[in-house]
Amino acid sequence: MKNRKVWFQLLVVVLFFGSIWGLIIVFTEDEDNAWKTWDHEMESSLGNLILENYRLNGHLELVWSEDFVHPDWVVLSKALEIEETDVSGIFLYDSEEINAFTLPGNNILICLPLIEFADTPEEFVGVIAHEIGHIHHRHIMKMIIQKFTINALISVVAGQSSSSVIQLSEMMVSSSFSRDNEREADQFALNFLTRNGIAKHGLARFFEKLNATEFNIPQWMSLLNSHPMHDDRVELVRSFSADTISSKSIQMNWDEFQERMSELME
Amino acid sequence: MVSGENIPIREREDAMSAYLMMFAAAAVGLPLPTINLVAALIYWYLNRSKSRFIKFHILQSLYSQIVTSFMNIVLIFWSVRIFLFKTLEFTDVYKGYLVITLIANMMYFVFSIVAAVKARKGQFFYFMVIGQITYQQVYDNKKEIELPNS
Repeated sequence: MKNRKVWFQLLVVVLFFGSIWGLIIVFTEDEDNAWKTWDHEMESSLGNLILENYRLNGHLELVWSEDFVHPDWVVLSKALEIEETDVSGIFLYDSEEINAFTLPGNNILICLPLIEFADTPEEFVGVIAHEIGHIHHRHIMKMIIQKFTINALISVVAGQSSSSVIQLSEMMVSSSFSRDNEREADQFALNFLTRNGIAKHGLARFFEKLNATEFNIPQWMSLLNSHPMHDDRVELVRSFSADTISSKSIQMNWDEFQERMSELME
Repeated sequence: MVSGENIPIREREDAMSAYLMMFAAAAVGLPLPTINLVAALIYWYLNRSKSRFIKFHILQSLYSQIVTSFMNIVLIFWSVRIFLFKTLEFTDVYKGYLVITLIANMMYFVFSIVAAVKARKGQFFYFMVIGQITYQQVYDNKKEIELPNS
């Protein structure tokens, strides 16, 4: 009899907490999937506002778009066949970080130190392919909508919240994607490079160098760390490279390209 | 059931302390929810040979702290992975868990205060599920004979 009472109470408790948990999941589902239905025009407007903010606060140089290709980017854009992708524009951004990131509206921003850090064009296009992966999977909108409400974003696009534009701009530079998203972008980059016949060892080499320069995180922390460990990424790229049937190197004068890009940002 | 009318004041205070000490322990332990659990375990160990009335309240407090601490640890680990290390995503499942953990903590807090007041009066207060289990463990043990209060 007493045991029945305990079981009954346990059932009540489980049902009570389970219902609350379930109701929250059901009623917030739309909010979580909002990034999928976020209008592309609104996304472009949001991206343009953020770009404008970067322009106001630093040097921003367009190097590739559907209507304009910087002469030094002709070889790279052909090798990557960027016009076949969802990318709207590629910009050089004045920053001291070895970084590249995507913006809403399918724009990619590349910081000059990243170009200087890459020793070969294959390393560099590997990183761009990774960023195209983020664009392809719409990771940026997914991340933004997780941090901002839909209404807040609408007011940003409507020009009613300039402080949020600044906040978003800062977030783009400092935030990182989830580990799953990074892995997804890596995987996309490898498939993309394979499809375009570009050697993937460049991407592996880039991760190896990054691993050597960044603070070395102990292996036991790899489960918690945001980005996949660079070692894991190198291994992924290396294993993928082994399957490569044929790949080509990009024929261009890399040192000259680096110099030109530095001059462009002066 | 046991009547608490003849329970000495000292025993009532010991029983009440089982609930009240979690406030002090929680203050020291925040944001580590395990500290109050360690304190509860020590308190149980020191008082394990005392009367059944004290034992009941100490065990009820301990069991409820085990449940809430477990929920809090899971929440902290989950939150760290989402917000600090960004290994996981901020999902609806997480939001739901966050809410039920907050409710569980609030219930634990309110029930502990009520139970502490009741214990001070020499009475019983049964937490859902845990109260019944604890009572059966402490009072339905036929091998143990309650010693008269000295």
